[in-house]
Amino acid sequence: MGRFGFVAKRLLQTIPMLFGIVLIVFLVLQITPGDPARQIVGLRASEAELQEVREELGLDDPVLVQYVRYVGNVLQGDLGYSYKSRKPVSEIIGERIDVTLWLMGSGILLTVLISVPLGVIGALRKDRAADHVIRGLGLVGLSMPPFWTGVILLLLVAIPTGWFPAGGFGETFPDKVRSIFLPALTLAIASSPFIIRGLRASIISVMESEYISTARSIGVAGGRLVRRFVLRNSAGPAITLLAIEMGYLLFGAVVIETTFALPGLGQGLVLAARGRDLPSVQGYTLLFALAVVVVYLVSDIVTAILDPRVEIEA
Amino acid sequence: MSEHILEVRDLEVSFTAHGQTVTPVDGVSLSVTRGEALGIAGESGSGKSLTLKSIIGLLPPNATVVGDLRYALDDEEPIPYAPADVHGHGISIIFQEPMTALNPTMRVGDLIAEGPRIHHGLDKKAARVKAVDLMRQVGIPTPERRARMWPHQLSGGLRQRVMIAAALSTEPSLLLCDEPTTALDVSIQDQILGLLQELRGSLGMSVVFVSHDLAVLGELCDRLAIMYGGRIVETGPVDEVFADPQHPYTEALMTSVPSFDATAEQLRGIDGRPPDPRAFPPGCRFAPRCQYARDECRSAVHELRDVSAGRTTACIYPELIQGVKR
Repeated sequence: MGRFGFVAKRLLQTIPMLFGIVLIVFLVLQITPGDPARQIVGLRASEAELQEVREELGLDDPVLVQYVRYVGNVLQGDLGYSYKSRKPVSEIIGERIDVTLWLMGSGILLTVLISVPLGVIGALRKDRAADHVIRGLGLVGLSMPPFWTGVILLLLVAIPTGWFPAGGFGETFPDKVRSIFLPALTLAIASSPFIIRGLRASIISVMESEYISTARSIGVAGGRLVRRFVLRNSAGPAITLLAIEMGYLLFGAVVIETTFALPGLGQGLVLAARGRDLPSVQGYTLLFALAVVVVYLVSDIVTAILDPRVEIEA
Repeated sequence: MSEHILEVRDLEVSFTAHGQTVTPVDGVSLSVTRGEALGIAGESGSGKSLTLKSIIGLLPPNATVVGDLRYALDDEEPIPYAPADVHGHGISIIFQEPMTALNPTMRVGDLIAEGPRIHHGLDKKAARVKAVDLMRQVGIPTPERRARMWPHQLSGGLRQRVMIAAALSTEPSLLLCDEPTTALDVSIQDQILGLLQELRGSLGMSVVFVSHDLAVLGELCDRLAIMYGGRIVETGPVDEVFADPQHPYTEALMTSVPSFDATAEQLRGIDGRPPDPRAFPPGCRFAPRCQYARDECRSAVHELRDVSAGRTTACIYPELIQGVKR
């Protein structure tokens, strides 16, 4: 089985996982106390109105029937209608997903740009001054909760310099970049310490392997040794860590988007939860779970591409 | 022009951990002449591998190396060198386990092309052609196709040939071999030994070959150095050492090698265990396991003395050795 075989197998494995996620999201809504119909029609509505809405939404059908209908709808991209605005949930999500994709994408990019050089320096200067400084910085980064980091960046960078907007998301490309930079940095400060630590450990163990001795013996040294012999071999564990970290940070986006007043999915989830808009909450939850699955999938595939041996272990 | 290409004087390799210092290589001196193949024999833990790695500076970072190492590049007198000076310039090494010695995420052709790219400034394409040539030279069939393969896709024997090609890519005048056949099947061992012998002849390289296997050393080497407990205990031309060992440890090593016509009585292990570098015995370090040992041995100062032309031993009673009964 080649590497494409591995990717295909990994893709197939996610299908049952997706059904499981849909089932859990569906069940969570089922066991949530409160009557959705009552939520929609309001407290003063008559019993007849209530019954009408129940029938319209199929709430009287057996749970299994409702589940099958829900899965069918989800597969067609129909996530139901918001109790609040009456708009389709998929449309609400569509309006917000852009911002969150920007946030996560630039957050990952900044994390990599910060972590790779610092991880490499920490490993190559192990137990020396530079390593201690990097580890110290990592500890500081770890100790700062994202909402606090965000506020500090706003107060110390955005407002004094005026280079970055204090909130909101721009319309044009340069404005988007400017408005996403500080939120992405906040995200990167939270995630980089883990990645730096993981990468450092993984590089240190790679540096001890015999093929590094081989490379040295034929005169490969310095940056060439790192680029051609060290990085690709130590990237695997760091990428897996990054994926796990991104899974957490997706939910961290809720906090960061609120701090920077970004109209993204995180902010949308907060608003929906506060308004008890269950179909929207359900839609966001499903999407976030899906995103985690996709991030893990992508990380597995990237790892497989980087390591030619994966095909025999799969 | 000096005859010697490599000179090692009083080499000591030590490690310090938890306040305790161990010295697994304790005063090794050796020299290699041009075109010569020197074999270093000894049990695991005798310090033979560490000696080899200190010559090319590939010891772990926590090792301390003391001693005078000199290497002669381009027909000059041997001069002191820093290990990084010889990386890719003059000295190459091949390892025991070719799977772990090859970069798992690099196509083997690209690995072999590294040397020519760095040292001869060849561009990617020219270096690739050179790599395929080298692969052909070390007897890899269909080198163009195999250059595109990953190490895990090759057999053990082919991997070791790739390792040899990578070592040769820098055109070394001294090739260090760290038990390169030990991890291979017996039939493949012979092929690799034959290849090394052939390359040594055609390229005029000097070789230092470390092994615990006397038969392997006998096939390839001109001269032998026997190591025990971090020291060299005997040196001499291979044939003479085999015919008439001048150190009881050499004799014991030889009687522990099985052969077709040896009876069970003649085939003996060596009693006792290899010495622990944390607590080497005083005097001759082999004395506790030596069938001829006398009281003086336990306080004897280690010194290699000439026995005859080209032969030295550290044993103070070489005349007691009865020789190998075969």
